[in-house]
Amino acid sequence: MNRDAEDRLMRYLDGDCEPAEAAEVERWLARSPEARALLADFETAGELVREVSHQGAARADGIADSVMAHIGSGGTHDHHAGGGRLLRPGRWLARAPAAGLALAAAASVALFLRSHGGPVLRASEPPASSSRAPLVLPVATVPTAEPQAGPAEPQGAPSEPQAAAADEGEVGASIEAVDFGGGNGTIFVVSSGPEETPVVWLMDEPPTSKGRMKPL
Amino acid sequence: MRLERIGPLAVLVAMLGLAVPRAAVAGPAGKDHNAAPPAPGPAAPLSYSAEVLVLHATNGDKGIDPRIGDMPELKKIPFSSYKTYELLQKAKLPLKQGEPRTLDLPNGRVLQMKLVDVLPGDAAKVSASINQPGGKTFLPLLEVKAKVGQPFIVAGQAYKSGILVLVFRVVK
Repeated sequence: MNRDAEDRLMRYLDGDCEPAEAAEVERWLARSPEARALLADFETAGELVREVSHQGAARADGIADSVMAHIGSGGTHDHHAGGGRLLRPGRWLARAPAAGLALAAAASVALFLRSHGGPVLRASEPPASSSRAPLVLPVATVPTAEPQAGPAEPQGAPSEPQAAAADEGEVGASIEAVDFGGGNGTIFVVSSGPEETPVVWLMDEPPTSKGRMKPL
Repeated sequence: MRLERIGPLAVLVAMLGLAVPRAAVAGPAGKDHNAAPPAPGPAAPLSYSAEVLVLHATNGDKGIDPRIGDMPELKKIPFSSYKTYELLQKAKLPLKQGEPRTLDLPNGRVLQMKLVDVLPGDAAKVSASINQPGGKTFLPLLEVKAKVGQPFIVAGQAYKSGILVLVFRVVK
Protein backbone atom coordinates (compact mmCIF):
# COMPACT_ATOMS: atom_id res chain seq x y z
CA MET A 1 0.00 0.00 0.00
CA ASN A 2 1.47 3.30 -0.98
CA ARG A 3 1.85 6.28 1.25
CA ASP A 4 -0.92 8.22 -0.42
CA ALA A 5 -3.32 5.48 0.48
CA GLU A 6 -2.04 5.40 4.03
CA ASP A 7 -2.31 9.16 4.23
CA ARG A 8 -5.86 9.01 3.04
CA LEU A 9 -6.71 6.47 5.69
CA MET A 10 -5.10 8.60 8.33
CA ARG A 11 -7.00 11.64 7.18
CA TYR A 12 -10.16 9.61 7.28
CA LEU A 13 -9.40 8.50 10.80
CA ASP A 14 -8.55 12.05 11.82
CA GLY A 15 -11.82 13.25 10.37
CA ASP A 16 -9.96 15.44 7.93
CA CYS A 17 -11.59 14.06 4.80
CA GLU A 18 -14.22 15.95 2.90
CA PRO A 19 -17.50 14.06 2.72
CA ALA A 20 -16.88 12.94 -0.83
CA GLU A 21 -13.44 11.66 0.00
CA ALA A 22 -14.73 10.00 3.14
CA ALA A 23 -17.33 8.18 1.11
CA GLU A 24 -14.67 7.08 -1.30
CA VAL A 25 -12.55 5.80 1.55
CA GLU A 26 -15.50 3.91 2.93
CA ARG A 27 -16.07 2.25 -0.41
CA TRP A 28 -12.42 1.36 -0.50
CA LEU A 29 -12.61 -0.06 2.98
CA ALA A 30 -15.60 -2.12 2.02
CA ARG A 31 -13.74 -3.87 -0.74
CA SER A 32 -10.19 -4.01 0.63
CA PRO A 33 -9.30 -6.25 3.57
CA GLU A 34 -5.85 -4.73 3.60
CA ALA A 35 -7.27 -1.26 4.00
CA ARG A 36 -9.51 -2.45 6.80
CA ALA A 37 -6.59 -4.06 8.55
CA LEU A 38 -4.54 -0.92 8.27
CA LEU A 39 -7.36 1.22 9.52
CA ALA A 40 -7.77 -1.12 12.45
CA ASP A 41 -4.11 -0.71 13.22
CA PHE A 42 -4.37 3.04 13.12
CA GLU A 43 -7.36 2.87 15.42
CA THR A 44 -5.43 0.59 17.72
CA ALA A 45 -2.64 3.12 17.77
CA GLY A 46 -4.99 5.84 18.85
CA GLU A 47 -6.48 3.67 21.54
CA LEU A 48 -3.11 2.66 22.83
CA VAL A 49 -1.92 6.21 22.88
CA ARG A 50 -4.91 7.30 24.86
CA GLU A 51 -4.61 4.39 27.20
CA VAL A 52 -0.95 4.75 27.83
CA SER A 53 -1.13 8.48 28.25
CA HIS A 54 -3.29 7.88 31.28
CA GLN A 55 -0.98 5.43 32.88
CA GLY A 56 2.17 5.76 34.80
CA ALA A 57 5.46 6.05 33.12
CA ALA A 58 6.42 2.65 34.39
CA ARG A 59 4.45 1.07 31.67
CA ALA A 60 6.04 3.16 29.01
CA ASP A 61 9.39 2.43 30.49
CA GLY A 62 8.70 -1.24 30.16
CA ILE A 63 7.51 -0.89 26.64
CA ALA A 64 10.46 1.21 25.75
CA ASP A 65 12.79 -1.34 27.23
CA SER A 66 11.19 -4.08 25.25
CA VAL A 67 11.42 -2.06 22.11
CA MET A 68 15.00 -1.17 22.73
CA ALA A 69 15.82 -4.75 23.55
CA HIS A 70 15.08 -5.51 19.96
CA ILE A 71 17.33 -2.86 18.66
CA GLY A 72 20.70 -4.29 17.99
CA SER A 73 24.02 -2.60 18.04
CA GLY A 74 24.78 -2.82 14.36
CA GLY A 75 23.90 -0.68 11.43
CA THR A 76 20.70 -0.48 9.59
CA HIS A 77 21.54 -2.99 7.00
CA ASP A 78 22.80 -5.47 9.51
CA HIS A 79 19.58 -5.25 11.32
CA HIS A 80 17.63 -5.50 8.19
CA ALA A 81 19.50 -8.57 7.14
CA GLY A 82 18.78 -10.12 10.46
CA GLY A 83 15.17 -10.56 9.61
CA GLY A 84 13.86 -7.51 11.33
CA ARG A 85 10.98 -5.56 10.05
CA LEU A 86 11.52 -2.04 9.10
CA LEU A 87 9.03 0.26 10.64
CA ARG A 88 6.54 1.68 8.27
CA PRO A 89 4.68 4.13 10.37
CA GLY A 90 1.78 6.24 9.41
CA ARG A 91 2.16 9.80 8.37
CA TRP A 92 2.32 11.18 11.84
CA LEU A 93 5.29 9.07 12.58
CA ALA A 94 6.89 8.74 9.26
CA ARG A 95 7.17 11.91 7.34
CA ALA A 96 10.59 12.87 8.38
CA PRO A 97 12.36 15.94 7.16
CA ALA A 98 14.55 15.10 4.27
CA ALA A 99 17.70 16.35 5.82
CA GLY A 100 18.89 15.82 9.31
CA LEU A 101 18.80 12.23 10.19
CA ALA A 102 17.61 11.21 6.78
CA LEU A 103 15.30 8.86 8.46
CA ALA A 104 11.87 8.74 7.08
CA ALA A 105 11.85 11.13 4.23
CA ALA A 106 13.75 8.57 2.31
CA ALA A 107 11.61 5.67 3.25
CA SER A 108 9.06 6.11 5.98
CA VAL A 109 11.36 4.78 8.60
CA ALA A 110 10.96 5.64 12.20
CA LEU A 111 13.94 6.50 14.26
CA PHE A 112 14.15 5.28 17.76
CA LEU A 113 17.18 6.30 19.66
CA ARG A 114 18.62 5.52 22.95
CA SER A 115 21.93 6.55 24.23
CA HIS A 116 23.75 5.43 27.28
CA GLY A 117 25.87 8.07 28.81
CA GLY A 118 26.43 10.51 26.12
CA PRO A 119 26.97 9.32 22.59
CA VAL A 120 25.61 11.75 20.12
CA LEU A 121 23.96 10.83 16.90
CA ARG A 122 24.74 13.27 14.18
CA ALA A 123 23.02 13.40 10.89
CA SER A 124 26.29 13.73 9.07
CA GLU A 125 27.73 10.68 10.72
CA PRO A 126 26.28 7.36 9.82
CA PRO A 127 26.31 5.07 12.80
CA ALA A 128 28.86 2.77 11.29
CA SER A 129 31.39 5.54 10.98
CA SER A 130 30.68 7.22 14.22
CA SER A 131 33.65 7.55 16.46
CA ARG A 132 31.35 7.53 19.40
CA ALA A 133 29.77 4.21 18.79
CA PRO A 134 28.17 2.16 20.05
CA LEU A 135 25.08 4.04 19.60
CA VAL A 136 21.84 3.20 18.03
CA LEU A 137 20.19 2.15 14.93
CA PRO A 138 18.54 4.65 12.76
CA VAL A 139 16.09 1.93 11.96
CA ALA A 140 14.56 -0.13 14.67
CA THR A 141 12.64 -3.30 14.84
CA VAL A 142 9.81 -3.57 17.22
CA PRO A 143 8.77 -6.62 19.15
CA THR A 144 5.64 -8.23 17.97
CA ALA A 145 3.34 -10.68 19.57
CA GLU A 146 3.93 -13.32 16.99
CA PRO A 147 7.00 -14.52 15.21
CA GLN A 148 7.76 -12.50 12.20
CA ALA A 149 7.30 -14.28 8.97
CA GLY A 150 9.28 -13.80 5.88
CA PRO A 151 12.22 -11.62 5.12
CA ALA A 152 12.52 -8.04 6.03
CA GLU A 153 10.47 -5.78 3.90
CA PRO A 154 12.70 -3.86 1.59
CA GLN A 155 10.10 -1.34 0.68
CA GLY A 156 10.80 0.89 3.61
CA ALA A 157 14.53 0.62 3.68
CA PRO A 158 16.43 3.78 3.02
CA SER A 159 19.07 3.33 0.42
CA GLU A 160 22.16 5.44 0.55
CA PRO A 161 21.34 7.36 -2.60
CA GLN A 162 17.91 8.07 -1.22
CA ALA A 163 19.35 9.26 2.00
CA ALA A 164 21.84 11.43 0.21
CA ALA A 165 19.16 12.91 -1.96
CA ALA A 166 17.04 13.48 1.05
CA ASP A 167 19.88 15.15 2.80
CA GLU A 168 20.11 17.66 0.05
CA GLY A 169 16.44 18.32 0.07
CA GLU A 170 15.03 21.56 1.27
CA VAL A 171 13.36 21.38 4.60
CA GLY A 172 12.11 23.87 7.07
CA ALA A 173 13.73 22.29 10.08
CA SER A 174 15.74 19.19 10.65
CA ILE A 175 17.32 17.47 13.58
CA GLU A 176 21.07 17.49 13.17
CA ALA A 177 22.20 15.84 16.35
CA VAL A 178 20.66 14.58 19.49
CA ASP A 179 21.92 13.14 22.73
CA PHE A 180 19.32 11.71 25.04
CA GLY A 181 21.80 11.26 27.84
CA GLY A 182 20.78 8.35 29.98
CA GLY A 183 17.20 8.50 28.91
CA ASN A 184 15.13 7.46 25.98
CA GLY A 185 13.64 9.42 23.21
CA THR A 186 12.15 9.28 19.80
CA ILE A 187 12.40 11.49 16.77
CA PHE A 188 9.62 11.75 14.28
CA VAL A 189 7.83 14.36 12.27
CA VAL A 190 4.32 15.64 12.19
CA SER A 191 2.71 17.01 9.10
CA SER A 192 1.86 20.66 9.41
CA GLY A 193 0.57 21.42 5.99
CA PRO A 194 3.23 21.97 3.37
CA GLU A 195 5.98 21.58 5.91
CA GLU A 196 6.94 18.80 8.22
CA THR A 197 7.67 19.61 11.82
CA PRO A 198 10.38 17.55 13.49
CA VAL A 199 9.56 16.38 16.96
CA VAL A 200 11.86 15.10 19.66
CA TRP A 201 9.85 13.15 22.18
CA LEU A 202 11.57 12.57 25.47
CA MET A 203 10.88 9.70 27.78
CA ASP A 204 10.73 11.38 31.10
CA GLU A 205 12.10 9.59 34.10
CA PRO A 206 9.27 8.29 36.22
CA PRO A 207 9.91 9.45 39.76
CA THR A 208 8.38 6.52 41.52
CA SER A 209 7.75 3.74 39.09
CA LYS A 210 9.88 0.67 39.18
CA GLY A 211 7.50 -1.76 37.62
CA ARG A 212 7.86 -3.34 34.29
CA MET A 213 5.08 -4.23 31.97
CA LYS A 214 5.15 -6.96 29.49
CA PRO A 215 5.78 -5.82 25.96
CA LEU A 216 2.82 -5.36 23.73
CA MET B 1 0.53 -7.54 7.82
CA ARG B 2 -1.24 -6.43 10.90
CA LEU B 3 1.57 -7.10 13.27
CA GLU B 4 3.99 -5.48 11.00
CA ARG B 5 1.86 -2.40 11.03
CA ILE B 6 1.63 -2.48 14.75
CA GLY B 7 5.38 -2.24 14.99
CA PRO B 8 5.54 1.53 14.75
CA LEU B 9 2.54 1.74 16.97
CA ALA B 10 4.50 0.13 19.74
CA VAL B 11 7.13 2.78 19.28
CA LEU B 12 4.48 5.41 19.46
CA VAL B 13 3.04 3.91 22.56
CA ALA B 14 6.44 3.71 24.12
CA MET B 15 7.14 7.30 23.49
CA LEU B 16 3.80 8.49 24.71
CA GLY B 17 3.61 6.75 28.03
CA LEU B 18 5.09 9.66 29.74
CA ALA B 19 2.38 11.32 31.67
CA VAL B 20 3.07 11.19 35.34
CA PRO B 21 0.01 12.18 37.27
CA ARG B 22 0.54 15.11 39.50
CA ALA B 23 -1.68 17.70 41.05
CA ALA B 24 -2.99 20.06 38.46
CA VAL B 25 -1.90 23.51 39.39
CA ALA B 26 -1.56 26.38 37.05
CA GLY B 27 2.14 26.87 36.60
CA PRO B 28 3.76 30.21 37.02
CA ALA B 29 5.48 31.62 34.09
CA GLY B 30 9.12 30.68 34.02
CA LYS B 31 11.84 33.20 34.35
CA ASP B 32 13.81 34.21 31.35
CA HIS B 33 17.29 34.88 32.63
CA ASN B 34 18.02 36.93 29.59
CA ALA B 35 15.01 39.13 29.47
CA ALA B 36 17.00 42.33 29.66
CA PRO B 37 16.93 44.36 26.48
CA PRO B 38 19.99 44.02 24.33
CA ALA B 39 22.78 46.36 25.10
CA PRO B 40 23.08 49.30 22.76
CA GLY B 41 25.82 49.19 20.22
CA PRO B 42 26.43 48.49 16.61
CA ALA B 43 23.73 46.32 15.19
CA ALA B 44 24.74 42.83 14.21
CA PRO B 45 24.27 42.10 10.54
CA LEU B 46 22.12 39.10 11.33
CA SER B 47 20.17 38.79 14.49
CA TYR B 48 18.28 35.69 15.39
CA SER B 49 16.22 34.79 18.38
CA ALA B 50 14.58 31.63 19.53
CA GLU B 51 10.92 31.91 20.25
CA VAL B 52 9.91 29.29 22.76
CA LEU B 53 6.35 28.37 23.56
CA VAL B 54 5.94 26.18 26.61
CA LEU B 55 2.69 24.29 26.38
CA HIS B 56 1.08 22.07 28.94
CA ALA B 57 -0.70 19.14 27.37
CA THR B 58 -3.31 17.43 29.48
CA ASN B 59 -6.54 15.60 29.05
CA GLY B 60 -8.61 18.40 30.43
CA ASP B 61 -11.52 19.88 28.58
CA LYS B 62 -10.27 23.32 27.72
CA GLY B 63 -9.10 22.63 24.21
CA ILE B 64 -6.24 24.50 22.66
CA ASP B 65 -5.36 27.81 24.22
CA PRO B 66 -6.02 30.48 21.59
CA ARG B 67 -2.84 32.24 22.63
CA ILE B 68 -0.92 29.39 21.08
CA GLY B 69 -2.00 30.43 17.63
CA ASP B 70 -2.35 28.18 14.64
CA MET B 71 -0.50 24.97 15.25
CA PRO B 72 -1.90 22.18 13.09
CA GLU B 73 0.60 19.80 14.64
CA LEU B 74 -1.41 19.78 17.85
CA LYS B 75 -4.36 18.34 16.00
CA LYS B 76 -2.34 15.46 14.69
CA ILE B 77 -1.43 12.22 16.32
CA PRO B 78 0.29 11.90 18.73
CA PHE B 79 -0.39 15.42 19.95
CA SER B 80 -4.10 15.04 19.37
CA SER B 81 -4.12 12.43 22.12
CA TYR B 82 -4.14 15.32 24.53
CA LYS B 83 -7.30 17.35 24.63
CA THR B 84 -6.01 20.48 26.27
CA TYR B 85 -3.03 22.61 25.43
CA GLU B 86 -2.38 25.57 27.65
CA LEU B 87 0.25 28.16 26.97
CA LEU B 88 2.38 28.40 30.09
CA GLN B 89 5.22 30.52 28.83
CA LYS B 90 6.24 32.40 25.78
CA ALA B 91 9.78 33.60 25.64
CA LYS B 92 12.08 35.09 23.08
CA LEU B 93 15.72 34.35 23.60
CA PRO B 94 18.11 36.48 21.60
CA LEU B 95 20.72 34.19 20.14
CA LYS B 96 24.33 35.01 19.65
CA GLN B 97 27.11 32.64 18.89
CA GLY B 98 29.03 31.66 21.97
CA GLU B 99 26.46 33.12 24.31
CA PRO B 100 24.03 30.53 25.62
CA ARG B 101 20.65 31.68 26.79
CA THR B 102 18.60 29.98 29.42
CA LEU B 103 14.97 29.73 30.30
CA ASP B 104 13.48 28.28 33.46
CA LEU B 105 10.87 25.70 32.64
CA PRO B 106 7.78 25.17 34.78
CA ASN B 107 9.02 21.76 35.89
CA GLY B 108 12.15 23.22 37.43
CA ARG B 109 14.43 22.25 34.63
CA VAL B 110 16.39 24.81 32.69
CA LEU B 111 16.41 25.10 28.95
CA GLN B 112 19.59 26.38 27.39
CA MET B 113 19.82 27.51 23.81
CA LYS B 114 22.73 28.55 21.67
CA LEU B 115 23.21 29.79 18.18
CA VAL B 116 25.60 27.36 16.55
CA ASP B 117 25.76 28.80 13.09
CA VAL B 118 24.06 31.20 10.76
CA LEU B 119 23.13 29.47 7.55
CA PRO B 120 22.29 30.82 4.14
CA GLY B 121 18.69 31.12 3.21
CA ASP B 122 17.33 32.64 6.37
CA ALA B 123 18.23 29.65 8.45
CA ALA B 124 20.26 28.94 11.51
CA LYS B 125 21.64 26.00 13.36
CA VAL B 126 20.76 26.15 17.01
CA SER B 127 21.40 23.86 19.90
CA ALA B 128 19.29 23.21 22.93
CA SER B 129 19.76 21.31 26.11
CA ILE B 130 17.62 20.73 29.16
CA ASN B 131 19.23 20.49 32.52
CA GLN B 132 17.92 19.35 35.82
CA PRO B 133 19.22 21.64 38.55
CA GLY B 134 21.19 19.59 41.00
CA GLY B 135 20.85 16.50 38.89
CA LYS B 136 21.88 15.00 35.66
CA THR B 137 21.30 16.61 32.35
CA PHE B 138 17.96 15.57 31.01
CA LEU B 139 18.56 16.32 27.37
CA PRO B 140 22.26 16.95 26.92
CA LEU B 141 22.13 18.07 23.35
CA LEU B 142 19.80 18.77 20.51
CA GLU B 143 21.03 20.46 17.38
CA VAL B 144 18.57 21.64 14.81
CA LYS B 145 18.83 23.42 11.51
CA ALA B 146 15.78 25.56 11.03
CA LYS B 147 14.56 28.18 8.68
CA VAL B 148 13.17 31.30 10.18
CA GLY B 149 9.67 30.66 11.38
CA GLN B 150 9.74 26.90 10.98
CA PRO B 151 8.87 25.17 14.23
CA PHE B 152 10.41 22.19 15.85
CA ILE B 153 9.09 20.55 18.97
CA VAL B 154 10.50 18.93 22.06
CA ALA B 155 7.80 17.11 23.98
CA GLY B 156 7.38 14.55 26.67
CA GLN B 157 8.59 16.00 29.95
CA ALA B 158 6.17 14.99 32.64
CA TYR B 159 4.41 17.88 34.27
CA LYS B 160 1.27 18.10 36.39
CA SER B 161 -0.88 15.32 35.03
CA GLY B 162 0.38 15.89 31.57
CA ILE B 163 3.44 16.74 29.62
CA LEU B 164 5.29 19.80 28.48
CA VAL B 165 5.44 20.54 24.81
CA LEU B 166 8.14 23.01 23.87
CA VAL B 167 7.67 24.65 20.52
CA PHE B 168 10.70 26.40 19.11
CA ARG B 169 10.99 28.79 16.23
CA VAL B 170 13.98 30.70 15.03
CA VAL B 171 12.87 34.24 14.43
CA LYS B 172 14.57 37.40 13.35
